Amino acid sequence: MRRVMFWVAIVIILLVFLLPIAWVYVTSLKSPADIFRPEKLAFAPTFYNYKYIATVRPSLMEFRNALIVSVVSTALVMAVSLPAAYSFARFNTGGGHLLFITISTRMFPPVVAAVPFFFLFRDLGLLDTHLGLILLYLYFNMSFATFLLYGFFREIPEELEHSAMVDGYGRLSIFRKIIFPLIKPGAAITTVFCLIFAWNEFFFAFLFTRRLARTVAVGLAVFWGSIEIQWGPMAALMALAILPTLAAAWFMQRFIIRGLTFGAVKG
Amino acid sequence: MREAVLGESLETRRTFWQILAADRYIKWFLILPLLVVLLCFMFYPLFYCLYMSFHEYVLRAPPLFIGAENYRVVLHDMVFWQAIGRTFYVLVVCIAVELSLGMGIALLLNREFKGQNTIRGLCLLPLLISPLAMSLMWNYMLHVQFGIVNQVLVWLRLGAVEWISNPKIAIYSIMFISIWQWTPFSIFVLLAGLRGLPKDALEAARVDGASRWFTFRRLTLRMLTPLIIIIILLRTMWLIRIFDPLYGTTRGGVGTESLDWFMYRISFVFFDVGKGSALALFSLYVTIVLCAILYRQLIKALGAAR
Amino acid sequence: MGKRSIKRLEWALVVIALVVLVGGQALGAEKKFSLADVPEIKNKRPIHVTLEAGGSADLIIPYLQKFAEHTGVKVTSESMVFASLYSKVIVELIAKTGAYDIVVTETSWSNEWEDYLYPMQDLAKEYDPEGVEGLERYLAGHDPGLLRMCSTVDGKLMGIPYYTYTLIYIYREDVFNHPAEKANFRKRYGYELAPAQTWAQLRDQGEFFTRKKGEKLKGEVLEKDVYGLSMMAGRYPHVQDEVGARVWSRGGHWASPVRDEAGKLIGFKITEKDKRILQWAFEDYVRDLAFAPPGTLSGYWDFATAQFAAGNAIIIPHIYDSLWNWASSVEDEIPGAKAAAALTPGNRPYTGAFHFSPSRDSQNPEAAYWLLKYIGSYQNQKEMAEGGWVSVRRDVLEDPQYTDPKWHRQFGWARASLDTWDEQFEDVEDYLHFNSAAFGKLYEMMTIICHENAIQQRTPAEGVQEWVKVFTDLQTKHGKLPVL
Repeated sequence: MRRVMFWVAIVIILLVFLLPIAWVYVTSLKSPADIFRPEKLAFAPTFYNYKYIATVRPSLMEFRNALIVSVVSTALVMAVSLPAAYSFARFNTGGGHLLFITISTRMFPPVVAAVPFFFLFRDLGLLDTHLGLILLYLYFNMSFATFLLYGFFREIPEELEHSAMVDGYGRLSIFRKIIFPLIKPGAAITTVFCLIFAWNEFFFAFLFTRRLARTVAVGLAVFWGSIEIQWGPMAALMALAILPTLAAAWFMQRFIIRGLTFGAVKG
Repeated sequence: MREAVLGESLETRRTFWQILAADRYIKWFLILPLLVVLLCFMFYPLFYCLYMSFHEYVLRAPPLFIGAENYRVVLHDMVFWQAIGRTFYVLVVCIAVELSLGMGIALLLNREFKGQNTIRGLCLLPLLISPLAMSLMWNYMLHVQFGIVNQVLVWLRLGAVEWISNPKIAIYSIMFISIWQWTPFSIFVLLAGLRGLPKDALEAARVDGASRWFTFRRLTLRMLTPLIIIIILLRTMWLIRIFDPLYGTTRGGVGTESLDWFMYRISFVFFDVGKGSALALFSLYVTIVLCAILYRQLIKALGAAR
Repeated sequence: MGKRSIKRLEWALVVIALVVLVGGQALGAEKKFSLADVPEIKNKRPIHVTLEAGGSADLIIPYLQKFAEHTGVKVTSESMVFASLYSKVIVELIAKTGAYDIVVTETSWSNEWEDYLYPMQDLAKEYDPEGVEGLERYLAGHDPGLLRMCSTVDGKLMGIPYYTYTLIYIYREDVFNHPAEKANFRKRYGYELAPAQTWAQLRDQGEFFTRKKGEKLKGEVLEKDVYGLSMMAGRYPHVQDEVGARVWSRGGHWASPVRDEAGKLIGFKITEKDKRILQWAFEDYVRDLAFAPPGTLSGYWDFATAQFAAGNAIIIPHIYDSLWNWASSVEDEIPGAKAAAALTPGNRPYTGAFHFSPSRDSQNPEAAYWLLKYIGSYQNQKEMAEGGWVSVRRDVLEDPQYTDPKWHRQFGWARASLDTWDEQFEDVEDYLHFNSAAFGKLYEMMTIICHENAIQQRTPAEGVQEWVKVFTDLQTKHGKLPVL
């Protein structure tokens, strides 16, 4: 009985989470005439929408740009945030104030910050470049990543490190042999989130790019015109745009499972 | 420098306390890149807005000093206060729902079962999709006549609902869109936390005959408190800026205008930099106060967890 | 010697005659300027064009390429989500990035963007061998009203329109012509059922056609609810267009122009008459909403048209003519259905057009000028119209194949648009939309006020008060002319 209940719950959860996304895929296969006929479940699927986004206004560049921007910015974020979060977690650097300041950078309303940044980036020649977006995303995701990693680092008992030190390990080897394996799941999750945020960020990507560095998140909105919304092609591009993030999540999932070992070490 | 410090510590094999002394340097070294990025980005918009908030500036003519007029106008604007009130309402409801759902689902997924990895992965999906495009999609799916949601309700003979267009319901639809997209975030942070919990402590409690509820409340929940507060803090920061779910649905209409939408309107339609800056600083202040309270709780909880 | 010279003279005369003849033909052909008439462009710098999003806007892309092939100037384009197009373009223009050589401009932004755009006349003087007169000859095929909308207060043309959306009244002709419906309507309201000419008639029709499932339409039992009027009350600019159609039809203004003795515009004033009419328009709009389908309060043209196409609504009282294609698809959806169009009640709806405008920071205004001229040319508009485009040129639309209703499934209802343009031509000069340099901002506030009126967050009287307040505020802050 408990098993049945468990599976019923899982099925309900999955339905709620997945049906809307499934509907994106369904819509992407509908012809324009069927878009406004939800009652018609049996429709003739068509690749018209996929053809449209492949030929009329191709989005390949947008995928490439999004990939460059999100991967590089995430790598930078992790390079900056991992050591910083460790420092905050282990040494309480800055007495907590500095960490709070780091977090607070995300509290400034981005819609207002965009105007000064736009003028600054214009003067620096960073508009419509990958570097410009990478820097912005580094700044925006850094505080989040540092904070989340801080939480994961704090979960690692200090005694582990202390005893390792007593055993004569240096800081570096402690980090490599003890901390890193334990932080892997947390780091994996943080990385995935940073990738996703960078991949899907619209507002700055829209404002700070034009033709060359435009990312797919901006491309997704370009089906909404003044007298027409192209639901079909939009759904088709959404269906494709989710795939890279899915691949990233799948890849990181392997590290998340390793979290299992965590409890063992801790004991 | 870092190598030198580490190398030295390895070579001379100092005692624990001596190494800790070296931490004085290492901790700043580790944090240096972060500080550099912060310095590069943080102050410019902050001072820009501070300066502009005392000026009338609509990008046409040069800024004109007008004292605290912008603040006066903003603080007397009912629309602004309504937007703040609405945003906080959304914030509280969303966080409460997301956390309870997230915890429940994380506990469920923390078991060993067939296909566990696949199912966990599938639960992450809503997070992966572009929130902005999804808001347009939701507008379509929740439409009273042409949406699949109402179609299902009609099939179930429950009748259609005006999800987006009824001023009493629309705000909850916005919440739903946000919750649907962000619950997986809570699930995953909590799941990672759960998987990191010391199994033997929980085991021991069970052997001692503690009830499930007791174990959960006294051990699991307690140990997860830091992560929970982190989720609350992060979601607070994001929800105060709730924007995407409105973009494709109500565009601030039908009684759903959020604080960020209001600011967007002032800054990006009216291009009223002065007023926008005053708004930004005021809302920054509110957010900081709110988050500082949460942050203090976090530090306390972390202290207690030790 | 004498003979020879006479022969020479003869030849010279023949040559002159030939030149005159050929030249004359060239002049005649010039009336229909085409791609072949674009001269050699010296400046070969690539140009970048903004486009709005959507399938119809995508239709223009191949023509940009045609231009590029002909002139050797590379043309790139960038489509933008319409909801944020204004914000993005104006930031780039204000920041003088020069990234866009040609920007999409809505007619009502012409005055606001004046400082950032090149007047067409200046460009013609500079780059067109035929000068300003040549440009004027070329523009003869365009509607003078639309051209006024694309111009500033002092007559500088800020671009060339390429696309229109005029509000027209689309209805189900089969229902209107059904004998039982006609008889019932006459019995109930005391006059003949025909496309509404007044707002009172429109409400009668809304009431008359709003029917529950199980009642009869055209003598047949309905399987679903049917509504009289399909409207767009969501917080999108369109709700403003709908209310505006009411305001203008009664001779009211969002803000009346104030002119000096010479007729020069010196400012704006919301008169008592304007306030009265605005309040009536707000009230009238809310009353009509009673006959609109559920979902209207967050709806815009997309769902409004879908309601009509699915047979859920009998009339779309004010909808953009560019949606003819979709609206008339009701004939496929509902057996026996027939769509037709007329002018909106009161004949003063919002008429807009997108025009392409050359940016002042363009590095290649020469190519920008010729591209504009090409896209707005008869030849090009005609070609695009055959592909489903809603042409903006009168000389294209006046072709019987567009005006004859029997072709409406292929080409829409151009007659209704043309008549609307004619009807309102003399009033265009006075509309706030085309006179205020703050209009991009005012538009947003009008939208909000009209929407909040529709959801009854404010009473009509409060709506008028709010409008007076925000108009004064925004016009003073962003506009060039004072509020008097």
